[in-house]
Amino acid sequence: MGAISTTDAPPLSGPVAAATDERIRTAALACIARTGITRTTVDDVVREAGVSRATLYRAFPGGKEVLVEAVLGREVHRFFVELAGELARHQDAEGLLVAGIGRALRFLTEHPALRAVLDHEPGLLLSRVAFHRLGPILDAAAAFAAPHLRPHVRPDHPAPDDAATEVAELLVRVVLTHALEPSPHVDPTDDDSIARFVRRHLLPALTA
Amino acid sequence: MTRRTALSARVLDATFAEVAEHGLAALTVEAVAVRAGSSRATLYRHFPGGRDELVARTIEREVEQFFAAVLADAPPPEAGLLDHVAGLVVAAHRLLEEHAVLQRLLADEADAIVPSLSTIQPLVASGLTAHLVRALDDAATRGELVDDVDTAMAADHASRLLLSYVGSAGRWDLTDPDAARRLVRDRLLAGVVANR
Repeated sequence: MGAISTTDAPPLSGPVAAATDERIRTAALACIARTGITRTTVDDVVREAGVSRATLYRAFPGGKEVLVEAVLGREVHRFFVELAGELARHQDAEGLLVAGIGRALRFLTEHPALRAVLDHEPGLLLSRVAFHRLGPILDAAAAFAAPHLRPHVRPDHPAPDDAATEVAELLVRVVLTHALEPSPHVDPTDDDSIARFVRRHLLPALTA
Repeated sequence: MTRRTALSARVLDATFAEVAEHGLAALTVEAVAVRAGSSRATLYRHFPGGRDELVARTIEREVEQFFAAVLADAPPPEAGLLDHVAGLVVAAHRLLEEHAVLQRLLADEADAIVPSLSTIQPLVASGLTAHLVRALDDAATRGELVDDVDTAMAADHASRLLLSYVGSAGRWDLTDPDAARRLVRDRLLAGVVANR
């Protein structure tokens, strides 16, 4: 997979092409939500979308790989847009963390395609975020989150920008591990559960 | 040791050696049998799941041994929770870096270990979490923790973060015991260990 970007790649220009692009992406997500990425074929997608193979290859030259990349990029972008909207609504540290963690986890654990990938091919996702592959993901996600955390770093910290970035990385790690392997202790659908977790384990890290 | 367990040990040794020498993709039951001084028939009798079972059992054993080595290297929990967990972090990071076979697989056959990763991860996590629950309970009786810590939740959290940082240290220098101690105090066990 390519580098993680928090901005979306634009579809082909023109309203008909854009609508077709959208249909194909939606169809790809539906197929992946049924059987995961590995078992989804171009034929599955064109059947679901009601377009020809030629149309798909015109919109996504390179076929399945390019399509999956584009769909992934779009979902990642959507994730950050929704999260940013949520974060903007909170000025206090606890509210920010509870809303941010809760929203992020709900998005990920309720995402049909992501759930299917985790069910059908759990190793796939794990291998994309394991060991040295985690680095670029942490960098991109932390760059997004750090500015929101910066106002809440303790005022006497010698390197507050670094602190914000490093805490952002911590939060990204937390979200990732809970998205991949849900915990009985943290229920994304229960704000009280999230709040207890944030208060006990995450706020102290932010203010350390 | 019974003959059966002696054979199993020899077979797992042979599997590990085959992977170390030829990689995972090239592994065959035949090659393992030859190396273990046994036959395919015998192997399938003891490991009916064939190649997949050989790989899974070898990995399980490797994880157990890795865990034991990490524990042996770190100060015991009685020495203090922070020092113990920081010791786990430093030891695990070092031993992971030094694990030649794992590093080569990650470099050359990252996609081949994909199926194995999803079995290793929960294994490691549950073992580590169980250990940390015991360490936290002990620390609680020694008065090292703040009041009302849910040690199961704290162990789960610390375990997840420990595995995350050890696997990919980010901006932390985990060869530095002081840095590891700060990581444990301010991140893994933040809000759990009492300030003294």
